[in-house]
Formats: sequence, C-alpha cells, structure tokens
Amino acid sequence: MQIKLGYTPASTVLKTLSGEHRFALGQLLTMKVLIYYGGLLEQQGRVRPEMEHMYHTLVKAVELDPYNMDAYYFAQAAFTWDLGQVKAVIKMLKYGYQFRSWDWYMPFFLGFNYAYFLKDKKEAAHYMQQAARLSGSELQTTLASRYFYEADQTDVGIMFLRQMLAGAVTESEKAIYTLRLKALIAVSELEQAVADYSASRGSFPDSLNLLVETKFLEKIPTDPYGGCFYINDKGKIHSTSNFSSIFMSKQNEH
Amino acid sequence: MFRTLKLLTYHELLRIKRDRVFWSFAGVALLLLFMTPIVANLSMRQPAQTGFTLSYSLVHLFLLVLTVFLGTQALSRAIERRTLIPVLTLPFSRSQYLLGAYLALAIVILVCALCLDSISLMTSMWLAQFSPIDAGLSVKAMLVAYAMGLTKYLLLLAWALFFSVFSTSFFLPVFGTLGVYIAGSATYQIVEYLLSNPAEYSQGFILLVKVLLYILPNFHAFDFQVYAAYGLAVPWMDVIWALGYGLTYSTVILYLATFCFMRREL
Repeated sequence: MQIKLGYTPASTVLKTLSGEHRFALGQLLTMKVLIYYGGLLEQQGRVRPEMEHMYHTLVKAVELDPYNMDAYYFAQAAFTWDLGQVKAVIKMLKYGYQFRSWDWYMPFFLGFNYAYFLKDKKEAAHYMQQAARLSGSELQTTLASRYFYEADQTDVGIMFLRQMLAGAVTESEKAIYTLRLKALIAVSELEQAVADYSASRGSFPDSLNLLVETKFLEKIPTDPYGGCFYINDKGKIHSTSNFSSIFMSKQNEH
Repeated sequence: MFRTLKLLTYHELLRIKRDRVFWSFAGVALLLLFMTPIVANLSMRQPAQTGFTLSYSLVHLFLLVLTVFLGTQALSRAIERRTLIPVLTLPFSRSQYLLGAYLALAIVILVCALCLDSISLMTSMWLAQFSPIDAGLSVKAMLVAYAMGLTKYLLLLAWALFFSVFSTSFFLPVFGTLGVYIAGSATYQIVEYLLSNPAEYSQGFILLVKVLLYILPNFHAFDFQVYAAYGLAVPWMDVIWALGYGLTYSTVILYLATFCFMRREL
C-alpha cells in the first residue's frame, strides 16, 4: 500500500486562503498526520516515514490553530520517543504554551522532555513546578520536587508513562503507553540487576547473560517492541529495537 | 410602509420556497448530524473542539452558498422572468422592493443559521461529554460566534444584492460577491503579514492599509470561534464594535444598491 503524506503549503498562504475555516483546516491537517502515522504503524516499518513533512504539517496546523491540543499531544507522543525530534517538539510546545497558558499538560510535557531526553534537570524542574501550580495536583508537586532532582532517567520515564496512561482515553493510546511502560519496566529491572552486580563485583557485566549466570537476574526480560536487550561498555541498557516499531522497520530497510 | 415591506418580504419568501432551498438545507443538516461526530471522534484530546470547528465551518460554507446564490438571483430572476415590472406598478417604491427582498433573504438565512447552529451547538455539547480533559467549550461564546457569523453573511447579502442591481447575468453578481468574500476573508492576514515589520513602512501607508482593511470589508472582525471553542473570555467591546461595523456597513451597501436600483432602466 502506498502511504504518502505529501507537502503542505506555507501557513501564511493557508491562513490567507482559509479565512474563517482556518481552525477546521488546522484540525484536518492534524488528522491527516494522525491517519498517516497510524498507517505507518500498520506497515511495521516497511515504509520510510516522511518525518520532515509530518513535523512541518503539524507546525502549520498549530499556526492555523495555536490552541490545537491534538497536535501538541501527538507531537509529544510520536516525535520524541519514536522519531527523536525532541528539540523540535520543545519548540512547538513552547509556542503552544504561550496560548494554552492554563493547560498543565504543556509545562508537564516540556518538563518531561528536558528531564528525560535532554537531561536538563534545572529546566525540567522549572516547567514541572509550573505544571504543579496549574494542575494543583499533589502528584505533580511530588514530581516537581523529588523526581526531577533525585530519580534516574528510567524512573522519570515510568512515572511519565503512568501519568499518561491514567489520562489515556482511546484504546490505541492505552496500547501505545502500555507497550512503552512494559519496555521501561524491563529496562528498570535490568538496570537494578546491573547496579547490584557492579556494587558486588566492582565492574559492569560484559553481557546480560552474565547477570543470569551469576544469579543477579532470574531471566532476561523480553523487549515488547521485538528487539533484544544488550548492555554497552558504560553499563547502559539498550535494545536493538530502540523501543520503536518505526525504528525497527528503518533498521530492517538498511 | 411596514405593511408594504411585509407584503414584499412574503412575496420574496414564496419565490425562495419555490427554489427548494429547503432540500439543500436538509442535506447540510444531515451531514452535520452524522459526519461531525464521526470525524470528531478521530480527535485524541479535543473531540468537542473538533466537532465545533468542523460544524461551524460546514454551516458557514452552506451560508456562503445560500447568500451568494439567493442574493445574486433575487433581482436578476425577477427581471429575466419579467415578474418585476408588474410588481413595481403597485404603489410602492423601488427602494421598498429592494429592502423587502433583502429582509426576505435575511429571514431565510437567519432561519437556516438558527437551525444549523442549533445542531452544531448540540453536537458539540454532546461530544464534550467524551472529552478526556475539561472540554472548555463556552455556550455563551458559542452563541456569540454564531451570531457574529450570521452578521457577516447579512453583510455579504447586502453586497450580493448590490451586484445584482447592476447585471442580470450570472457572472458579475456571483463572482463579484465571491470576490468580496475572498477579499474580506484574506485582507486581515495580508495586513497582518505586511505590518509584521512596521518599521519598513511609513505611518501614512500603515494608516491607509488599516482603512482599506475595513473598506474591503474585514470579515475577520466577525470571527469569534476561538473564544467559543477554547472557552476564552469573550472580548465584549470587540463584539459590540463588530456588530456596529456590520450594521453600518450593510446599511451603506443597501443604500448604494437602492440608489443604483432607482436609476436603473428595466
């Protein structure tokens, strides 16, 4: 099946031509990207994603309707984890936060991106405090004060995914977050075993099988994305899937 | 005076009824009822906003078609079918006839807008129940958005009648009205783009551009859908200003149309 997103004209042109229909057009552009992305997932990596077009279409959608939460939500869900476009997403979220200044999701996403992907805990805490203030939630306050200064990267990811799963509505959303949560819990389990091993032996294990052989780990968990876990020379856990169905397909392509 | 207007309006309404406008209206209403919730359900986080903006667009596309075709044909058909001359032999002025035609068309547009906007409102509120976060739709702001949208189409209707006074052909009235609609919808963005670097232009040029924006006319002034969709505080001064602008502009165009119609040879 041919899946193409194609080029979207500049937002200045779209705004001028669409007039009062610009909000509807913004929604339709976002849906176009959502449907395209859904098609990509179904293709399981047999199609090279038009990342540039996807991102620019979403940017044009939010320029037409800067309040469009679907665009920000989707950009956060897809572009950070699967496509690695964290800085582009942060730029888009900062633009949206100027308009959706009441919405705690915007600083929450920003805080998470700074903490998890960019490891900038100062910026992360700054945005998480704003999210806590806007939401008035105890959990958010805990996140702002504790996790973003003390927790390690995987814990931050697990915490974020649990929060997103709690707010997910559609089955597809729940499935995406559940899959990623399972992957991070598996990573967390492996990281704990590596930490126990290095505390006991004074060095990192050469392979994950060694953790099982030395009884620090009962068995190597499976990667729900279909890849294989491995440990690098700095003791970090990775997977051949890179925790992305799209990434797996790109690897297969090459 | 009012009795004459009432009679002329009734006469024009009968003509519109014969055009079977009702069927196209029913088609749009059905589309609104069934299509909007289906499309809006594709939204992950804001089905109510999606429902509102899509239905608002659909209703306004229908109102545009209705305004252009009914407005531009009001006089030309009567002239072509030679029904206008006998009517004008009756004891009332041409200006009363034109005003009667405008009122009849305005009533049709008003009734269609009321029904379709009600469906749009109910669909959006129904979709708001499924919103994963606080939907944020504001009924008060939605009513303002619908009312201001209607004001805009009543202004466009005045332009359609103005063009139909000049020509009985299809092209000038239809494309003239569509031209005003496109120009009126695009001018604000063009001006915004031009004035994004005000240092590059003289104060005189900026003033000229701003004056031209409202002469063309400025349809952006009637667009309040963002306040409705996202529950933002309605800028009431802007609403009052836009209402005054729309009424004044429509009156001026109707006056010009009457002025030309009184001098036209039939």
